Amino acid sequence: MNELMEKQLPELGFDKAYGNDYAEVFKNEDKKTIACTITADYVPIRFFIETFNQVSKIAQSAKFERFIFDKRELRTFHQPSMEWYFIEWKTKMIDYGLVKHRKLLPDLKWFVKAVEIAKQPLLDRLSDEEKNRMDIVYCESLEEALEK
Amino acid sequence: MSRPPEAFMIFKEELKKAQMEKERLKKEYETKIEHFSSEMGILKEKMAAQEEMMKTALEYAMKLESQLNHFQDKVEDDEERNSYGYH
Repeated sequence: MNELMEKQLPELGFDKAYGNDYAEVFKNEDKKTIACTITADYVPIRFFIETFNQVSKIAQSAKFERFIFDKRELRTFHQPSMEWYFIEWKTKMIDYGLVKHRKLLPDLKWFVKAVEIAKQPLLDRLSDEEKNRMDIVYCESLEEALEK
Repeated sequence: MSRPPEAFMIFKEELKKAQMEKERLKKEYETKIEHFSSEMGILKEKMAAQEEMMKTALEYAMKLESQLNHFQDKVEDDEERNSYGYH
């Protein structure tokens, strides 16, 4: 879908809950969804962790089950950040019921492949139970991420 | 005690202003340096991340190359065996 034509999160009924120079966090209680949009081509680990800690605070209410991670602006990912996000943050979110992960990647094959290669060893570190409880779907647009 | 001459008072005032200006410039400089150092740190982290991505991609390509070579050797070996009439 053309990103210019795509409805943005505020148009989809989301309220902004947090923001910094690299990312914005939105929430929609009716849709039980938290969304994080990356707004820069790279997020330093300090800001990455800060952003996701803000998401954790919102998720603690246990009112949310879906997390949309829109990283279409990202061009470089930081492996230690990805490791922290995948192994620590995501498993903690299971306890809060935030288990539906909907991801939007840049429309760049090399980036998608790079993520895939880097992700595999991390997936191997998760238990089968953790893997089974996480419902991860890659989407093309925010609307699709809300529907799937 | 006699009052200091007016010129001295003006000089003292100017000196005070100059010191305040010096402090302001110092703080401005320190803020800029701090910002610059922070930007440098972020750029270094970003470059390291890009290097890591390239390293991972090249290691993956080398692994594929090795698997392809192994597969080619196996095909050649099978062809050689077939030429001896195993089929």
